[in-house]
Order: sequence, then structure tokens, then C-alpha cells
Amino acid sequence: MGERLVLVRNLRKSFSEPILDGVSLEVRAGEVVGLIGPNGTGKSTLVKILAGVENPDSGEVFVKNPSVLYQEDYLLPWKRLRDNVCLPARFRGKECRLEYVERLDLENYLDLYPKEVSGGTRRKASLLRSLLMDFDVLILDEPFTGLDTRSKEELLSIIRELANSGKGVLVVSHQLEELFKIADRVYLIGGRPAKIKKVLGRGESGKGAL
Amino acid sequence: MRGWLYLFLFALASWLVLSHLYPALIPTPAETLAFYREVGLSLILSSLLLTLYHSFSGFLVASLLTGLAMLLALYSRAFRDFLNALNVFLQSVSVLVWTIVFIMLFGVTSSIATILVTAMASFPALLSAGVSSSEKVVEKYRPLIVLLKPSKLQLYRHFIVPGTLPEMVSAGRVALGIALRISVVAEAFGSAGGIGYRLVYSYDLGIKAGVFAWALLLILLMIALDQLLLRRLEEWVKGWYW
Repeated sequence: MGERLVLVRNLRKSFSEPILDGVSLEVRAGEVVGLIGPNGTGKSTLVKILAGVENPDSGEVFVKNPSVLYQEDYLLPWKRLRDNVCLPARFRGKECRLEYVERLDLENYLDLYPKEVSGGTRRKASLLRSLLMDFDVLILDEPFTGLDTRSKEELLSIIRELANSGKGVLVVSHQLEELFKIADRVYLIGGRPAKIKKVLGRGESGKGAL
Repeated sequence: MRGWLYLFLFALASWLVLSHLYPALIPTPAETLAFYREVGLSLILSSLLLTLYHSFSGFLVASLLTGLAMLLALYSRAFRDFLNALNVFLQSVSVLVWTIVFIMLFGVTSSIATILVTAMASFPALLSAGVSSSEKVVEKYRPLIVLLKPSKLQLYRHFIVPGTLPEMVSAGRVALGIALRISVVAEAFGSAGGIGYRLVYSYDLGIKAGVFAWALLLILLMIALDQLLLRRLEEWVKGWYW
């Protein structure tokens, strides 16, 4: 078993009403873990807690050196896509190595501003930025949204490669088909407040579970 | 454009009527134009340039102070609270007070007094916009900032300065308008030149055409700056962003 990179135990979070109720999950090095649930079940809140943007009300949260693709792109409109994706390297005084650019079909868009490209290209640029960070675990919130079929396949392949190289990947999505293709383990989240309803292993079908 | 034409016609008609009704107080447009010919282009241009110099220098000082305040506010919550209190204080101080204080410190003939009065008058507008738009930018991009963990200087350079630019340009438009209006007041009290000084000089000598001519020049200057430069700059910056 690989090193534990994400550990969430009995997590609770409320805003005006309870959102997450006793959620537990883990991601280990070399694993692709899925988190699936209907809209409004606190998945993005969980991602923000894992990223350190939100604090849990109670429970244990440990994340080792994450990179995160949020549901929103958070591209800076005053920077070209190249400068946006290179921001993490620039902040650390490192050279920006533009890996994955061709695989995500972004090479012709890097010198454009976010407002000059489509929503799908913005999504891919945001994804590229998260891939270019130094990380142990990659957390992707709805990464397939807005991607064409070829880019989805390429992303699935990149995720698998990252896991094979010893990284951990947590994919949060409502797109079952893509997730079941690659995940070693899938957590099904649902209810209000949300709880983990079921944990499926590789090859198990999640159909009807939610 | 039609609105401006109507305004021009309305102002001209009002002026003609009032100068006809009160000939001892209000000069006609023809008398005012004659005053411009009398004083000559050289004095008009030098006065105009001096007022612009006072206004833009004061605006620049206020902008630099705002930029510095926005940077320091990133380092300390206490400093942010101090800035909020300072802003309320500055807005409570009359321009007349600043004028007297700076004339006492720097003398009547020094441009520094006029520039500083202008700076202190336009600073609150810029500071309010700077502090509130900084907070908005940080809040908007907080998930990214938490992830990338930039240093304070990186946060300032890559997020705060460009992110607040549209609001700062809008605030700058207001602040520069204040700077221009206030600089002539300061010139009237503590300067040996500029439109404000010429206006009060004409008033003291009872040259009513002079008073109108210099006032009109200031109004035209402000409208031209706002409509030809600042409004277009504001639209360009906003259009460039989204």
C-alpha cells in the first residue's frame, strides 16, 4: 500500500445548514480515487476544505502537498494563458516546463487572454496549471466538464500516468462513465447533509447506487 | 453628443440672458472672448499648464500613497483598520485647512503647498477604492491564492495591482476631477500662478470678464480631460479585462 496522501475522518461542515456529515475518505500514493455524487451534496465544499480554503467544523483532515483544479477556472483575466499556467512555477522561481500542452491541445492558445478563448479552452488551461504544479496529490473537481471527447480521453490517460508514477489523484465528478474507467476506488456521496453512502472497488458498478 | 449640444445651447442662452439682465455683474460672451485676446495665448497656456502640473502632481502623490497603503495593508490587519480610520479622518478635513497648513509650512510662492493640498483632497477617493477593491480581488481569487501561496509582494504584483486596475481607473477619474477642482482653490490662496490664481486676481481687480474667462477655461479643461482621456481610458481598461 502506498503512502497516505489524503486522509479525511468524520468531517463535518455547516454553513447556514449542515453540508457534510461525518465524511471519511483516503487517497494513497499510486491511487486514483473517485468521489461521485449529485449536485449540491457538498463535493466542492469538500475540495475547498482539502485545499485549505475552508475550515471544517470538526473532524480530521490531512492532505500532503496538493494541487487542485477547482470547479471555477480562476484564470487571471489580465494574464495570457501562458502566464496563467506558469504562475505556480514563477512564484517558486522555477523554470516553467510546458508539459501536457500538446496533449491538451493548447499550443495555439497560450498567447491569448482568457476572454479570447472558449470555456473549454479556459478549463483546459486551468487543468494545465494544476498539472504543472509540484504536488503529491492532485485533486480535480469536475475535470471533464466542457472537454471534448479527445481531451477527456487524454485527461484519463494523464491521470492514470500520474498514478503510475506514484502520485495520488482524487477526481470529483458527477460523470460516472469517465470515473469508473480509471478509478481504483470510488466513494459515492449523497444525502442532505451529505454522507459517504458506499465505497466501490475497481470494476464494481456504481449504477443505481445513488 | 446630442446631450452636449443641448447643454452648450442652454448654457450659451442662459449666459446671454443673464448678461443682458445684469450687465454690471455678468460679462457677455463677446467681452469674455475679448479678454482672452487681451491676455494672449502665452499667459493662457502657461496658467493652464501650471494648473495641470499642480493637479497631476497632486494626483500622482495621492496615487503613490495609495499604492503604498495597499501594499502595507497586505502585511497587517491592524494597518488596514488604521487606513479605514485615516480615510474617515481625511474626508473630514476641509481643503481650506490643508491649504492654510501647507502655506504655513511651505510659503505662498511654493508649488509644494498647492500640490500637497491637491494630493490630500484626492487621496481619500483613491484610498477608499484601493482598500475595498484589494479586498474584493483577494476574496475572489482566494482559492487560487491559498493554492499558490504567493509572497506578499507576488500577491501585490500579480493579483492586487492588475486586479484593482479597473476600479482604480474609475476612482482615478473621480480623484483627478477633485484634484483639478481643488488645485485652483489652492492656487487662489497660495500660488503665484495657475488658473485659480488668475481667477482670484481678476476678481480682486474687478475684471469680471477675467473671472468668467478663467472659470470657463477651467470648466472646458475638466470636460475635455474627462471625456477625451479619462472616460476612454476607463472604458478601455474595463473592455480589456472582460
